[in-house]
Amino acid sequence: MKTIDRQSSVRHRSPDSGRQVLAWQGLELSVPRLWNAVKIEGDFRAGMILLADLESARLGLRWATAPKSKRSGTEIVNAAMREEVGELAARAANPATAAAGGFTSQSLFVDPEPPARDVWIGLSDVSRRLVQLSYQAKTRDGVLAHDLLPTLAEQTGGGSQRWAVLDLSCEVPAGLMLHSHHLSAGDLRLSFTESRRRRISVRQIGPATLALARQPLEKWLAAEVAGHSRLYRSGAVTRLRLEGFEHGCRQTLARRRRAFLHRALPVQIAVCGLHDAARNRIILLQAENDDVLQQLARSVGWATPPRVGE
Amino acid sequence: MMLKRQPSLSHQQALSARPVRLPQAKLEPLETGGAKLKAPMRPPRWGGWLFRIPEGALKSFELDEIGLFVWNCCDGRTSVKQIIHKLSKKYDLNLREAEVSSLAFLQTLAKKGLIGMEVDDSAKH
Repeated sequence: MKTIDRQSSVRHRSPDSGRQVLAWQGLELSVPRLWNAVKIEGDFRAGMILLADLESARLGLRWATAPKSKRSGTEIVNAAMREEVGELAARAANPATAAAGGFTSQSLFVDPEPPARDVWIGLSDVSRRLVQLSYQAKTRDGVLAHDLLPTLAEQTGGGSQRWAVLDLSCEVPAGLMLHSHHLSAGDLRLSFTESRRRRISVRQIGPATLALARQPLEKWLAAEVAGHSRLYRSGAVTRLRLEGFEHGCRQTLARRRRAFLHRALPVQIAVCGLHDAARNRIILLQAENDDVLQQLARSVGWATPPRVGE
Repeated sequence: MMLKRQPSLSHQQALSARPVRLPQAKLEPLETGGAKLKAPMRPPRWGGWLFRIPEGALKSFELDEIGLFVWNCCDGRTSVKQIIHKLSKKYDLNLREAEVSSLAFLQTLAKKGLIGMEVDDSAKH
């Protein structure tokens, strides 16, 4: 039986349960809980996320690497603003002061006649990416300037990168890039890769009560490793005890000898399944070794807001 | 026109619509927490003659716990939007996940003829 010390883990609880954190490709933003990602595109260099509530689209978050030029940050931002809202409206835009740190050059355009679109564009000092927020204002409110912009931040290149989308949140080691995401209702998965040798996958299934009624955790784990059976030999399933989780199990997969042509693949993969009873979720993790697996397990659910009555 | 055109609803209308379950449908609870739903088989236009479906034939569907919860909400008073919020609250689901799953499930029920949608005239215009 393997025991992992989870005392050092810190779950970052969002202070306001009416809000949730969106963390994607190095950008972090706190948004109302009713706004959820309905469309995600792109990679670290350029991409977008569309957030909507039940009725309509509310916010667009877009990022793109700034073009290499001798122009200053302000000029780049102003040009992007002109392209987005037009010459006349861009003249009315102001260099915003409300945005979170890390954006020295920024500009905010607030449409005087709602319903309309408010636009903020900033140039990140950290990644040299142009970040744009487009807010669908139904009335003349200060949501973009006062609620959203102060919470926008770009993660600095530390030891790990935070991710949070819908109900899934985790922290992955630095250097890993998002390889794929499958976000189905009740089954969320993020896969990361650095090279073929380094792969990480985080999957969350919920509600756990229903998923475990269908099949036990060991079978969920078996289904998870089934995709590797051609190139990997699976070891014995052992129980895994982890603080904060009801129960868990783990398995190590070793690369088959006959897969000698796939030398770029990791020699072994550690896979574990955990039942997070507090959040009523099943967590299935894959990593290249146990240390990374433990780190991942500690970080899953960092953005989960406290339940009502907690 | 040979094909009957389905009345189309906008997203707003679909959210404010109130699903009503088929009154003839019978529920048999299962040990798993779900239920077996039995409804009279309705042959297609020419199917009754072609397939000789016996009188009183039933078709059955198995609902899991969440399916049963949504089915019980289809009382003609609860709107789709309220169902989504109830589902999200009861199972601690993200609102988007609750929306996608419940809309897909209600669509399936409607296709099978197990529920109808009550739409306010005010919502139509």
